[in-house]
Amino acid sequence: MNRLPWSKNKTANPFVMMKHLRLALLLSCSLLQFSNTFSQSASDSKSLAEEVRKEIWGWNIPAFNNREIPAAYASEPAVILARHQEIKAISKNKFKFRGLTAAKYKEIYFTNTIREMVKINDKATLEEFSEFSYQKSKKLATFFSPKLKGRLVFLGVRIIKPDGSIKEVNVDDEVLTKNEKTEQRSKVAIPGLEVGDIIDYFFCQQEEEAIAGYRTEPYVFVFGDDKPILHYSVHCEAGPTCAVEYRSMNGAPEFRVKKDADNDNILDAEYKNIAKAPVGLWMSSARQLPILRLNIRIGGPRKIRREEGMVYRNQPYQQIIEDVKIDVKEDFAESQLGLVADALTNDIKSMIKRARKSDDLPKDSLPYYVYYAFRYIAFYRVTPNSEINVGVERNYQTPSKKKFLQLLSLILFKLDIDNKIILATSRYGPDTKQVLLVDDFEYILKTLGNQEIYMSAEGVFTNADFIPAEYEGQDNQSISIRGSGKVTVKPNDDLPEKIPFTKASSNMQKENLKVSLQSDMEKLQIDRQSTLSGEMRWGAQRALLLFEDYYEEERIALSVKESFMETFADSRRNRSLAEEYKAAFAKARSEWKDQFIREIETEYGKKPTELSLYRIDNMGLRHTKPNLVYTTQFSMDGWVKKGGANYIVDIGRLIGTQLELKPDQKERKVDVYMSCARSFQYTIRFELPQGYKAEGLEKLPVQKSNEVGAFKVDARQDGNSIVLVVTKTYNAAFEPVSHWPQLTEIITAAQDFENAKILLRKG
Amino acid sequence: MTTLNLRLVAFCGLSLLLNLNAQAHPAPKTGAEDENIVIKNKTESYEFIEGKADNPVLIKETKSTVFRCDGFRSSMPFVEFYDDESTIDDVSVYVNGRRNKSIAPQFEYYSVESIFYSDARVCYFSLPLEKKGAESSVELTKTIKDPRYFTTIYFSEAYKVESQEIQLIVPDWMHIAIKELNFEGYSISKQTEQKGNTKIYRYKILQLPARKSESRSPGPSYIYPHLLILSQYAELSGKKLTYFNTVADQYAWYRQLVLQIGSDKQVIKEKAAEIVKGMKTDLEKQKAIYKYVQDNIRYIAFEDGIAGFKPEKADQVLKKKYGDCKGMANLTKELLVAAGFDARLCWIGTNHIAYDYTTPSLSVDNHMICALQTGGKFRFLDATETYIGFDQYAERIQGRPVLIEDGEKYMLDHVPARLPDQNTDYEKRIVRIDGTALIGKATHTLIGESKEWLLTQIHSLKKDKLSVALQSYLSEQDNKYTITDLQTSDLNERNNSLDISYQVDHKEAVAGFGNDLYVDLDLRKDLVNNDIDVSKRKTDWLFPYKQHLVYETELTIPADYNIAELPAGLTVEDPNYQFRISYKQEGGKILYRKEISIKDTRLKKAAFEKWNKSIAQLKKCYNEQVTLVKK
Repeated sequence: MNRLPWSKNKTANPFVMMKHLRLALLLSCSLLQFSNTFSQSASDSKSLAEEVRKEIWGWNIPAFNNREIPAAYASEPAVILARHQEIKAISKNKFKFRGLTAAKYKEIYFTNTIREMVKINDKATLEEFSEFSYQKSKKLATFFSPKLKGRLVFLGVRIIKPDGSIKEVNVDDEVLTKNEKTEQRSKVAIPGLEVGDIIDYFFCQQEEEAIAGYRTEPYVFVFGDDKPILHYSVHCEAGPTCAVEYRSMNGAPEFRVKKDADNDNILDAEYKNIAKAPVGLWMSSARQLPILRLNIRIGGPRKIRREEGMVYRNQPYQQIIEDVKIDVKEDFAESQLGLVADALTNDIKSMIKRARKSDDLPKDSLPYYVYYAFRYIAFYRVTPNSEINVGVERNYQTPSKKKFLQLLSLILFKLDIDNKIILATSRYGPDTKQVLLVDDFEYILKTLGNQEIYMSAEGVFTNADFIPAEYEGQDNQSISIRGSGKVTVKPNDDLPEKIPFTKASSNMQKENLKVSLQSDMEKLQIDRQSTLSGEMRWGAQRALLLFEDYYEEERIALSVKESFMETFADSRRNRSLAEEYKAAFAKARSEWKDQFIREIETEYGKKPTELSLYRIDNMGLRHTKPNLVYTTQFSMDGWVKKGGANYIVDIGRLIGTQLELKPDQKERKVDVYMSCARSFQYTIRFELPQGYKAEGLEKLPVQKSNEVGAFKVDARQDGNSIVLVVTKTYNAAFEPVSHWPQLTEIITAAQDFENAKILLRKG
Repeated sequence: MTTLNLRLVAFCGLSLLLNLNAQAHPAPKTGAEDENIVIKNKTESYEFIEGKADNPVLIKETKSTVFRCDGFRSSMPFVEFYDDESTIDDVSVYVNGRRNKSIAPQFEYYSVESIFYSDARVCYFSLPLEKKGAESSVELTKTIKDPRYFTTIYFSEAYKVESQEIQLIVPDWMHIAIKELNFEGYSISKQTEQKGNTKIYRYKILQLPARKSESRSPGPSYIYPHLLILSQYAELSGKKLTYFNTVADQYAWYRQLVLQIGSDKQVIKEKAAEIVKGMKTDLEKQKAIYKYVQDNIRYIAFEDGIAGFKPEKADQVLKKKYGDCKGMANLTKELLVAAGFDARLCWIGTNHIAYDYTTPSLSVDNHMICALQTGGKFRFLDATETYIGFDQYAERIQGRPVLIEDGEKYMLDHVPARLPDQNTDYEKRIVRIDGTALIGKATHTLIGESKEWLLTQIHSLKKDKLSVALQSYLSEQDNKYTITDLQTSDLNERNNSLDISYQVDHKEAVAGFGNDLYVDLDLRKDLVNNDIDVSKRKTDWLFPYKQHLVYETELTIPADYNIAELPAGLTVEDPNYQFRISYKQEGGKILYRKEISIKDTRLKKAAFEKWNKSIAQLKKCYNEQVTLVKK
């Protein structure tokens, strides 16, 4: 909740997905943890809505009077002429809108209004703004404040015609897709809207909150969109009981701060002429787009506190570290982590005891054993009460990373393994020096002493000593967590932890292919073994591993005596459960082949005509055998062409589909954030059919190498086979934009090779 | 604290740990069929009963479904639909034979992506099946308020049904007809019994396979066994209440809704005059009005109770600039009438529906269009097809029976069926060899549904993306196929062909080895991935429209080369489709011609084997290249 909208998905555009729900979504980003009840008559609501509309349409912001599109944007499908967001967290006395009755105690009213005026220049944009769908009211949790009102959202829409006439849309001409006491949802189709019009619309969300409660309300203003923005302004009013903190990033404007007569803090910022945001391939919006972040805090014994009435600009990161201490303590108390850790420690201790009996567990392997035992308990272990979930969907489970690592830290410490928690920052979020909220940190655990082992909690298959690539290369603070009944959290004073970058050779896809022509001389028979290491494993592990297999491998590795299937089979009560698991395993296995077919299709951009063999050779469950290795045997058609008595083989297709730069991606003006340094190696042994000779080998070799990477092809004939060794390397996860031409060179070379051919000449 | 308790704490703590983000990454769906749950037994009863003044005849529906777990414990979604014309009166859930009141059904608006708003509601909950062999059941009662809306009873379910009984209880005062459809191949028996003044129809079904959703499949009324219920009339307290005894009754019901519309004729008249201003011929005016509605009215679907059958006022649609099919058909009609033409509203069932007006029922039609009478014959205008030309018809309405308004009477007609050549997609390339590239000029001419499909795609994109997207489409997303100097005819024009021309540079289309050149003259290997997996496919395959592709390439043979080998080409003739590929030498040129026609959009299951053989032949032909040898 309240996480920043930046995406870890390298190619995702965080803006385009917003469509017409954009503002409604921005509003819902600030969903509240708890508050109010909603009860209001329809007529009250209507007159209140009218007042809201009158107020907002009457805003004295000159940008909303502008109708002129600069020549540079004349051919854009849409231009945002003005966008203004107004945040208010103020006392009731100052609250202008009527209709909200007094609450029992001191209160703060929240409003969040976003108004936007967009020139529509094509049908696709017209479609984008032709319907609005939003939550109109919501009765929130009532336990703490049953008499306060719920969230109300008001919509206003006007259409400005090319002749300057303004038509207000009757948004009451709506359909309610939910009409209950607890919640109303509304849909409005915008009448009379045409290409060439300007749509001027707003969403205004109003809420109340008891000041006795604790609340933190973060906002993000991103000065970039899939449309150019001529004027973007932000206005915030925060009452004297609120503390405000903000941070401007990546060249975003700063707030101008002043106090008004009521001692409220008034913050204003504006930014003009914002070109369309560069979006798409290999971006990190949080590091590359101008962003202004704002957080309003109210109340809070035992919680993260700020001084009432203060405005904090760019809190030093040490302050956020202090906040983390409070947050961890809070979490510890709320989730009773001490008790849970005690219980789990006992559990793991008895597992260790059994393991020592069977395996004489060496001391230096203890931290690893603890990590895998804890992962086993969290993801693998099955009890009679567990839901039967043995298909691939199980592989997609992720834990609450912070809780996982907090617990692991406590357990390790109880087992005398010293450790600390690194407050890691993602390359897709703000760096350590730019953090604003405790949630900007993710945790990575590191054991101390003779063995320094990194531990992270990405999911079912995360190995010990593995750090997700998004945290690489960042300077981070670390903390230590100790305790059982009561927790102590201590920031470590040592030097910042620099999480190292992995090398291209650590994140590798290695393919070994034996290829021959089938007797019909139309299809290629491909025997393939794939080896994926480091960051490259994730997708395939999730898609291809079966619980039945990885459960058993880990159970044996941890010296767990009996499988749950054996335990159930031996129990009169649960005997039938073993049968049920058998049926579930069989179902998962029956769906397995399709997973491999999908994997081949993704890799080669084409479905195999037949998949005759598929198996996992190594699951990559542990740091000792970390690679995912699997074998597939399949046939492909369409890659062998006939020319008279000879055959042309599209041998380049055997390296799979290569990244293709779209025309608008070829020129680049921003730095390049890739997932990680990585490499690919394809060894292809192509067996020549009897009676045919290969021609064209001399055209295959490529030697493209520069400071960002390489694409190389070696080709030779070895007896009756052609051997191709193709390597592609991206040296680093990050490249400055100045290296884009070199990167393009590698990408293009790989792509060109996709078209490589050889001739099989008869005779 | 005991170890047990500690374990419990640990377990609860871990549940919390895992549950927090369990849904963070939705797993891909697998395609395997679910045989874990079966319907052991289902009984359904539909009884016509006397209601009150507003709804004099009601249908009381009671359903009892027993689900059994055959593999492993899990839970399943139970779903029942209702709407403004029906109510769910009671739902009882039983788990292992015991009533479970803790399972609370949710009642919600049912959202369908392509429909802005409908009155469809859904009642749903998760039904647990506690272990292998366990049974859970749901009993449900429902009331349908008007026999007109009681149209079909489908037998198939999302799960395999072992045994099912459907009972219709029809008192003598209610007159219905029952049509049994798609019974062939299923074990269905029927009994009728007269019990006093009531007739009871009983259908027993055994071992009915689960429904399977497949892409490009015919509508359910073509596939699944079901009953079509025709509620004709009721005789209650000496009064006759006519429902749809005849098509005339159905038309009369539609007509009384149409008479309630009350459009503002003056507004329409002014708009019609504005649209046709300065135009001389009738045809010009008719086309202009049709184009106006296609161009200016956005299609937004409403299916809201009675409003789902009554068109909105034409002046309101004009003002709002959006409407559903009824609103758009009515506006088209009113504008044409205001311009002095004979235009009428038409009700039509698209090809998604298996019925025609021989069985009067609200299930017969699902769409409304406009008929324009000129020269004693009708032309049909469907403005929801935004980019189709005048007197051209989308596949979904072609050949379909149509109910045309005619004052107090009605007329029945059919929308004309068209041949594939309505939709010709023609390409001509004149190219020469330049190194390993083919370079030259390409022109395209698209008409009918080929054109409509492409224009719809184009206009769904923002205009700054349009040119790139069009190039990407024309180059089959092959970055070695470079397009420059791209020119198109007016992308908003409906009544003429869409013409495209450009300079082409197809790199790597020629492979040179020694003295030989191997040339691939076909960029677009149409249908190459269209073989059908007969081991999986359960239903007939529907093509979107009758495709007609004609691609020609004229290659100049380089002066220093001779033809070593021209592929033989291919001729596949079938009543449903036709593939013709030929290579010819004419002087210093090679002429490549490919013509593919899909003559019948429905490829029946029985024809799959032959189709796959034809596709294999086509693939083989695509893999053959022209060989040139140095002189």
